[in-house]
Amino acid sequence: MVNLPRKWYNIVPDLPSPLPPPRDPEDESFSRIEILSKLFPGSLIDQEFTAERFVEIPEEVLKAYSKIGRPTPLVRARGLENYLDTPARIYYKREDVSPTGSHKTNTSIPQAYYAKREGIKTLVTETSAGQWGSALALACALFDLGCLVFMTRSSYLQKPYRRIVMNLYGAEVEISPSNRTEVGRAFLRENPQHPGSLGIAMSEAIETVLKSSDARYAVGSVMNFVLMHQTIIGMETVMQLEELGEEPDIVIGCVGGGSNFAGLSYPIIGKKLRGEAHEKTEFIAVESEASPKMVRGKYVYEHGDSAGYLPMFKMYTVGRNHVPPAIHAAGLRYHAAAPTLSILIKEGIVRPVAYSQEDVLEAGRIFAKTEGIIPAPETAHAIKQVIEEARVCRQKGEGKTIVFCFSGHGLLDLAAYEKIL
Amino acid sequence: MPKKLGEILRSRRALIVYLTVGDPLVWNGKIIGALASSTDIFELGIPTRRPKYDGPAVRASYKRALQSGLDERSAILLAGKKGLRDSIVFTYFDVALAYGVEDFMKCAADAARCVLFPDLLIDYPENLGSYLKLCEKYGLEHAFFITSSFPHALIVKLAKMEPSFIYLGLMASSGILLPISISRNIRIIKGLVGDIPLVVGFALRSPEQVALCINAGADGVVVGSAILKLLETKSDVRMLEDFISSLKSALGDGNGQSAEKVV
Repeated sequence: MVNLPRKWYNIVPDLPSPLPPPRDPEDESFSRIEILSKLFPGSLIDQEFTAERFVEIPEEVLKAYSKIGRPTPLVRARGLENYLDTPARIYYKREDVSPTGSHKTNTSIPQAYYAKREGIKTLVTETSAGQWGSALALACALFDLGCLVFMTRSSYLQKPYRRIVMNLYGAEVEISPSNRTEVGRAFLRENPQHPGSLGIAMSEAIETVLKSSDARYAVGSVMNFVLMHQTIIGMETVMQLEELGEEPDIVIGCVGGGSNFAGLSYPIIGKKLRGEAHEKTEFIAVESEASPKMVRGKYVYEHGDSAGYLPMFKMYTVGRNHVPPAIHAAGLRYHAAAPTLSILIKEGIVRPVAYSQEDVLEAGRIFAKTEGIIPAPETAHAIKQVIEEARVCRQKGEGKTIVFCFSGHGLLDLAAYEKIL
Repeated sequence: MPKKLGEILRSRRALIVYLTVGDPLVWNGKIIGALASSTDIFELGIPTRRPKYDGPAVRASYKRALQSGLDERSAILLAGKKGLRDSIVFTYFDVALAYGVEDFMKCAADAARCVLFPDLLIDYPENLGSYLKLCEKYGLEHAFFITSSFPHALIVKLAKMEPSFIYLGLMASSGILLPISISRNIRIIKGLVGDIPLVVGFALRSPEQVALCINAGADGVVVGSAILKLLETKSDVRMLEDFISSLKSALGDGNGQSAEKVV
């Protein structure tokens, strides 16, 4: 049993090369960097640019983490190992135990905490799969804040239970593109049945915040501070592995923007980058073919959102206006990999892999049968890679230790699995 | 090779003033005269159409310079015309590349003691070696620009190269103040650079901020956008002098000590 870590880990000071700064576009328009202060609570902007390697977690955040079930279990996947007849030892970090079913609460909670502390009344955001929206709605309920969520049309229609979860937590949920904002109205004129995208929903949320005085934007991935909050996952895992006497040989996670992958891997990658440990550890990031930014994207400056309200960050991206096909793993649809993750890929520290949803659902089913937990379709992408690595271990007779982030359960995404039953 | 800027920064806490070469608002005898007595080191910005890390005030300044007929390519030739010898040419490596890096450094050496490229280590790290060689060849002091997001191991490595100073950009863009704890970041970075003089800048605009920087360990502070904004509102030399004086006074710490360093 481990205790809750008291600090988050910021990988920025340990990166192999300088993190390129955010930029404003070179046209005549308003400064995106300037409006960051209108979008985010000040504490989060401070965290985005801190030179600290470790950041103290506030007491109230630790209490909330504990309340929702942290530290989360690191489980040995004996059922899966036996099924695969592999000498590999497989461990998964159960982020599905959070009340909303995924790792997203690790950052929604601190974001709500800092907003409340700064006198902000409402947090506004976007969601596609509904996991981020639910996590924010929960955090706002815990810290007594208002919550408004723009949900992409395709997800709103495919996942009605997610909307109910958010409503039960007290949040207002709006279909995106919506008539509520200029950017939404523009897309609706183009196509009244527009399926929506994370980028468009983000722009709607941001436009709403910019027009308000006491609302701020909450974000589910990409930003340094989000990935830093998520390192609670890896900070716990490092202690748990030490307790078990295990050294990770391969660390795997699925990637939408990169937050759960970073959460698990960064504390371990950090030790490797500082030359302290894990010299031979491999890090594999798995994305969906529907949004193949890491394996096929370009490492360039791009806005975080479709309308370009956010600054440009240097990231592996398929372009901010990329509209991926409507897939059930909606959490993986984002057009870019977080800046810190992108630099790690560029420098060869992290290896990216992409699968199509059809490839991964079977992996999800195997996991459900052998381990008893139904993975979210997003998480199934990571499991697919875990199975591949375990098979290689079987072929080579190598007993490697594989650790992956079980980022979320699939109980509200069962429609995805219907087609393979 | 005498390192004049390095000497200045080691002998006293310095006020560094940024001016865009060729911007009629600041690049004139009247304004430079008003600034000269309080300024320890001038930072000469070369205007460009691609202001990557600059905020609105400096972007507008570049625009004024280019609109006044200044050619982007030959702006560097103007840098030496005001006789501000104890100065730093501050521009993007992109600009030097367009000119021809070696020719650019050669021209800069006629105008200033140091050339500082804020994007060198971020966008052109493979050019670090040639930057150092060219500095040596043309008698320029070398210096490095870093941000609070730089790898700590790299900062330590840069300090070991014994630059005349290391310049820490405090914000994501020049002139845009974000709620970042500058004293915490300065303290951390100062711990990494050791006794290499640490110059800090971006969005500094008040004596209180200057005092914060000095107390956190900075050896010099840069002010740029604040001057541009002041003059944009009203070209009042008196106000400018008062403003610069107030910043200069803040370099001595709050206990009334002078800016002279005890060696």
